[in-house]
Amino acid sequence: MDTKTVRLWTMPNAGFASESAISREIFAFRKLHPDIEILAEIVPWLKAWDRLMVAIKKQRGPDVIQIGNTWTTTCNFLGGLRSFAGVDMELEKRSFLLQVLSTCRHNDRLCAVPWFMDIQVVYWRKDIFRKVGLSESIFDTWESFRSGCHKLRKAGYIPIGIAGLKDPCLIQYIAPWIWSAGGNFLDTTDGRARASFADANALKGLDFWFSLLAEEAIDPADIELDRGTISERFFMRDKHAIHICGTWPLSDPSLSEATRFSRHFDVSLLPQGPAGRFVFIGGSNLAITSFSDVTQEAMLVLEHLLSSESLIRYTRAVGMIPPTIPEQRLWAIQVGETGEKVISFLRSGRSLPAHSLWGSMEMVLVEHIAKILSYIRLGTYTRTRMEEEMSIASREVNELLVSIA
Amino acid sequence: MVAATFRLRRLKPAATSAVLCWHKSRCNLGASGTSHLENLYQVSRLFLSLQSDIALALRKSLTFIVEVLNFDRTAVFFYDADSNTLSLQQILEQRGVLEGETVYSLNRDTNVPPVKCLIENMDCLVLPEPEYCICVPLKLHGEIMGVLSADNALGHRSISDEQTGKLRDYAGEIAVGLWNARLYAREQEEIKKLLAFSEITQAIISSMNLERILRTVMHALITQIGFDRARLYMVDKEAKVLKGRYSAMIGQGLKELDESVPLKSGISQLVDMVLENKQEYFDGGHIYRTLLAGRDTVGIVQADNIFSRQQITRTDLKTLGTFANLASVAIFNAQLFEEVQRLSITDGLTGLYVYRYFSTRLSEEITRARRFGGSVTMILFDVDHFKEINDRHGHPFGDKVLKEVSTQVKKCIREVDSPARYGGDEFAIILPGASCDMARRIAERIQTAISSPGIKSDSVIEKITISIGIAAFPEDADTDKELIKKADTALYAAKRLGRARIVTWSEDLE
Repeated sequence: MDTKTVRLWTMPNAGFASESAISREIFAFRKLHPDIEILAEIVPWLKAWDRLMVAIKKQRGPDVIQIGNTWTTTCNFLGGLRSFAGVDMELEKRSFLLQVLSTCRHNDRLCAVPWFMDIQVVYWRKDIFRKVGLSESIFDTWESFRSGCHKLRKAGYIPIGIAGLKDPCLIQYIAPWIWSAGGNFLDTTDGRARASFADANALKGLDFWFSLLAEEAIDPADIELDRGTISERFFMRDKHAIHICGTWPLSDPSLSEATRFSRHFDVSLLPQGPAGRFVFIGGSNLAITSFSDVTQEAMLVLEHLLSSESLIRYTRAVGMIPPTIPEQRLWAIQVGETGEKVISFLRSGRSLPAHSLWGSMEMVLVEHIAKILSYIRLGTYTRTRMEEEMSIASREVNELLVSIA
Repeated sequence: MVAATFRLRRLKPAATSAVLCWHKSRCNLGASGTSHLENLYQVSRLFLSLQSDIALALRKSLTFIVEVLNFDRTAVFFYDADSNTLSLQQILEQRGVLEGETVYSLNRDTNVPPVKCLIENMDCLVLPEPEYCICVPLKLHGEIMGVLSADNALGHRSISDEQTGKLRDYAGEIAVGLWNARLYAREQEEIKKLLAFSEITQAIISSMNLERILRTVMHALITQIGFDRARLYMVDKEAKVLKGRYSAMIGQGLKELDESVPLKSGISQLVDMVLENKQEYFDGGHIYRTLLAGRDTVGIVQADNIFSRQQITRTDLKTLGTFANLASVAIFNAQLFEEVQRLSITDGLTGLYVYRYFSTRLSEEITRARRFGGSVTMILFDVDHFKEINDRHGHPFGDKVLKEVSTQVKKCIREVDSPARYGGDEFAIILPGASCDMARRIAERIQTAISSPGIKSDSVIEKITISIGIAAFPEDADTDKELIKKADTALYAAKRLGRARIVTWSEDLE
């Protein structure tokens, strides 16, 4: 029997457990398709963009890739992905959440399929809040949030535990503040897109968030740490009162056992701003590369990973949310009351623009946000400095947009 | 320099051969009873056998180290000299292996043991509680490749002298393995690059077609060097502009670049480079490189990584320079070739085709017409009383007349027509696809254009007339020779009938 090999790139979706999570799916696939071997590689997020770009430029590399939903359209624009023309009808029947399906379309063609979703959830310590005399109402408005953080700081706690420079999700942290201030990342005038994250409303939201961090809401040293360390400290120790991260804690058995999760923790949305309340919807898609020479076999791998059984199993293992509505309901039932609450947050969900060059623009933004965080780390943050960085980022993004006009 | 706050352990080969298995073994190496030297040999063999997969070799080595030396956790960091950073490659602990996500800058503010180890230039850094960790640089031949670290922080156990000594030995083996693996990887990469380079070079230097050379260079910039985007401009000295020729982008292929930039100082970096004869300019994000033909700047290439945001490396700049030099030589040759071609097929005085080329063209057009259908019409004419004009006004005036006739001919014919200087004062024009009527109309235009103004010689204006004969394939002739003969017959008839007229061939003329 001739064995065909499909090369698969995924990212460390489950930290140390990433390898075992994908190995389970590969094992299940092999039982059904013994003539197809999957060679999986776990590519760290911080290296993923560069490696994808090299693969696309050289037109050689993996056959199936996990690709962040904000990078999908850019990778397709640069010729890296194969279109799924003709497969649309099947996928439409799957009831994907529309916000995530839209990240898979480019020039009206489907170039990827949603694999899982992630939303940024606010976790808060009920026990610490009780001690300080606070409740979930601090998340009602910006003002109540600022005041709540101040009380927590005065009581000797670090109000917010959030990863900084080493976190690949920097955009996800700032997006809800831009949106709730009435701002946006891109605006379109006369059919032409331009950067708008340096406009007045966006800057208002950004300054609220960054000045809160700079003044008292975080421990500046946390900015040097990675996500895993911050999360561990929040859930295992009594230092941080609020933590913003994805949904993985809800699926982590060690947390629910070791920390008496539902007794001490609850989840909430970020506070309501002048223009509303938003939760960032991220996630990853699966795609077949344009340079794959085993497309039929790659399609089988894709179909397997997107099957209901595999989706439920994998998303539970990595702590993400399935992208399809029926599977989301199952996920919520399995997680429990907190899971139902998190699913209800999707109503306020919003994604980043599905623009051809969003992936490239994101790299620009991340570079400048990292600089702002450095200022916070060093205690030299000012609104002027922040506006300068955003202005430079805006110019660079506009240069990108003009390049394809 | 040794920092006073840290204990420095000197290299001391371990004396014992005991091996401890920490938890469920994930590899077969380090079996109980093997000596330390045998274990070191196993590690070095890992790198030899997995030369093309450093990540797997590292993973197996880390697993081995944890199991044999009874550490809670171990990790490998790679050092990047360009960015002066240490990046975590792999970390192995109880819960499994994680590929690296963390990058540390090498400065004194970064309070992380592996960084401290390199900054303080230590052979080995051992920290007591609460870190319980040891860091050993991975270095060979004076070059630092990274750091191997291990700790007992989870179990709150101090690091023993034996663990220290053995870890340092393993670090040595890993350093050698990494060094060789990198050499191997670099060698493979160089071989690939050289092969690709050789292919491109062949394509460039074997072509005398300028457009093909330019397209090959553009293609190489995207696929070989790996730029996101490149644009090529050529200098148009007559129009005094930089004319866009091609643009290439990943995923979008090669397109014609419809852009024109005046060659005036201060407009853009592109133009300034050409005017100032600069060879190369790099502003960190965009690279500009001129193309020379001999000593003249004939073009300029601009390239960037605007989409991928990847850094343009020194290697990229060097490779671009090499391609630009190659392309310059090829462009120079192609332009020379074009000039030689032009000279060999055109008449020096009039700029029209020479007889030899005219014959070839006629034959080609008739073959094409015979194959695909259609007609080929020929106009043959000469200057009336040319010998007398020469005798009266001198040969220089005669040359002037011939030049003026040529100029007017070029203005009156279509783009697809081929005018030639057939003989001394004889001219021929091939008109593909034209009927006799159309040829006649063109002939009348030429006649009017030549005769109306006259040509000045000192204070005299000499009126110039021409006699014209027309014949067509396939109506009048079956072959090129026959066509010429019939057109000549028609011309002769025009002369006999009084000159300064047009005659189309017919049976009666025979």
